[in-house]
Amino acid sequence: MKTTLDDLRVALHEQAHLSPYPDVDSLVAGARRRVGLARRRRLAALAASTAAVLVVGGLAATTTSTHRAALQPAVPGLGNFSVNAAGAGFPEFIQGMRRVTVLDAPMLARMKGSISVPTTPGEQLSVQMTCTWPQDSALTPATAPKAPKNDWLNRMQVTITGPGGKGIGRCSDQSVKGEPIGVAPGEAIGVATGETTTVSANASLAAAMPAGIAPPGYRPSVASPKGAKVHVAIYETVPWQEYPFPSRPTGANTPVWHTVRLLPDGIPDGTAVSGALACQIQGPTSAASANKPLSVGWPFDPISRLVLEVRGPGRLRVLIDGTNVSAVIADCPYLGCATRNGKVINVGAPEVSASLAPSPSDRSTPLRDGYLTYWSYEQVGATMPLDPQMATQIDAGVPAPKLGTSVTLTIIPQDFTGPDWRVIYEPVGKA
Amino acid sequence: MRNTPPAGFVDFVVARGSALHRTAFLLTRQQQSAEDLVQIALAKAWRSWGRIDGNHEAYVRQIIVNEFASTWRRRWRGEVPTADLPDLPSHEDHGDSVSTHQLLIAALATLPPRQRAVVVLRFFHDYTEAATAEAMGTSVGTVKSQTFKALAALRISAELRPDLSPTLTVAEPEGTLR
Repeated sequence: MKTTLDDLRVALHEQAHLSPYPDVDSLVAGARRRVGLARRRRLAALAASTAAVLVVGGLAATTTSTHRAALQPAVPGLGNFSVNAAGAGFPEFIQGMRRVTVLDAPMLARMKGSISVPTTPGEQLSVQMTCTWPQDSALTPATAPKAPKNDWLNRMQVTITGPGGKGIGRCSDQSVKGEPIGVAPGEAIGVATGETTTVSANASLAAAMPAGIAPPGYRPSVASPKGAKVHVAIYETVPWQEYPFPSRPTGANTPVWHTVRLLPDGIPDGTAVSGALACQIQGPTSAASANKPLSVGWPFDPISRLVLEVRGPGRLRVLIDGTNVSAVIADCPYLGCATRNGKVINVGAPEVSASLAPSPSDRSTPLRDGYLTYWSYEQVGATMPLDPQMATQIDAGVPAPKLGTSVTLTIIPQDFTGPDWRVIYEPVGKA
Repeated sequence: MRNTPPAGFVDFVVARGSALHRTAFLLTRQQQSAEDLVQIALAKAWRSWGRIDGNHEAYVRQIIVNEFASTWRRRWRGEVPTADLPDLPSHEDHGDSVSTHQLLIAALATLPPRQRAVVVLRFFHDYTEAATAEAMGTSVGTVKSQTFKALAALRISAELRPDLSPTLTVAEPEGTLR
């Protein structure tokens, strides 16, 4: 048998990585106890021998028992986490998903836990996370102008592992207390294959804040922040027909449309380049026409933009020159996507989105069964080019049309209860 | 407070506790024992923290290794080193590397503590023979002989071993931590 030194090295590293992370607090506490114990032993040795033996014995027994309790040996199952039946502020239903369970853990340097949750086979699992801390806490979120008294929020991260993947959520991604953090690309951790699914959480504390964030003279805090917690919510998708949609707002026919003004490339901030005269808007005007397909031809211009806006529950498909581009649009945020060299790219910029609608959701749109799906009365949208080439990501070989050639946009809506969608064609630069 | 950690001690544990724990885990193979071992080493380092010159991690690891090599056999019941190891199965029996690695780890557990410590320092931490000797408070010759015996027990192919001239020198008296 040719076992090599490389085999030995690999075996050692594999074995080392099986080692659970130690609880730093318990290491320090254990060392402290041992130092104290040794000191007491030395003092006891000065006393009469019989008394000394009794004292040392008593201390040893006491210390050993408390030591074992504080070590928090690896517990299979929830570990440091516990189930939060109240939900920790996570909504029961959101974006087509149902909350399955919520786990809490105190913010420690190392936390591990896993749980088997009831799931529906075939449904997508997702995770969200929040970090909370007491109001009067000295905890400080990221980008603090000066050294925080306790920087754990900038260093704490949680890895969530599901049946089809894992994601990492960082408390530093949360600028507002209790704001949910998606922990995986698309917030997805896989598809449930059985009636139960095991999801594990593994939290750890980075040794220090990154150099780019850390202020001068920074030193990492070592004390775990009292009262601070990490919350992890596990969600699963709900079929469209079974989802409990919110009631339509009363007092008005529909929510009010927010106004969106786009700032194209090369145009200085604050310049209104697309007023009402420059835009063409198409969409239903009543509940009766809400689910009628729309087909319209607009002139092709590689820098023109198309804004799809939705403000109520419903689902729709978008086709450009007959090709279903819904899957591409699903990943386009409100501001937005464009084509560059035949590839769809995200051109949205935070400083631009800040100047737009009051609170446009910038998250991606769930795609179910080939439909873009909308689940609430929050105005959301996607910006995209009116360009058949955007389909090249899903159907290669679509040629670029000539400038001014008519491009057909088709929208097939379904299940809208009012005139809750519209599409804006914006010939950028021609206002 | 008398029990307040010395300056920099807690920062050190936060930053390097995991690495030290891995060393202890490879030596003891048990989570609880590894934590105990690291705590013992940290407690010893605590008392001399201000006098440590330079590399605190190497210092604490040195305590871990020596504590394990010199006293752990007494603590660890149920594991009896033996000179007669069963032959490792051939690749025909277990062709995949996973099996090989598992067998190596299993064989490592049968080594006497000092040999196990040498293997961990030399082939996990990639210490040189001199550094291993310093960490264990012994001579380079002893490290060589211990490595030779350990690799032989692990059935590492002779032609693939490093230059391990089996100079079986007499071990120097055990060094004490400086």
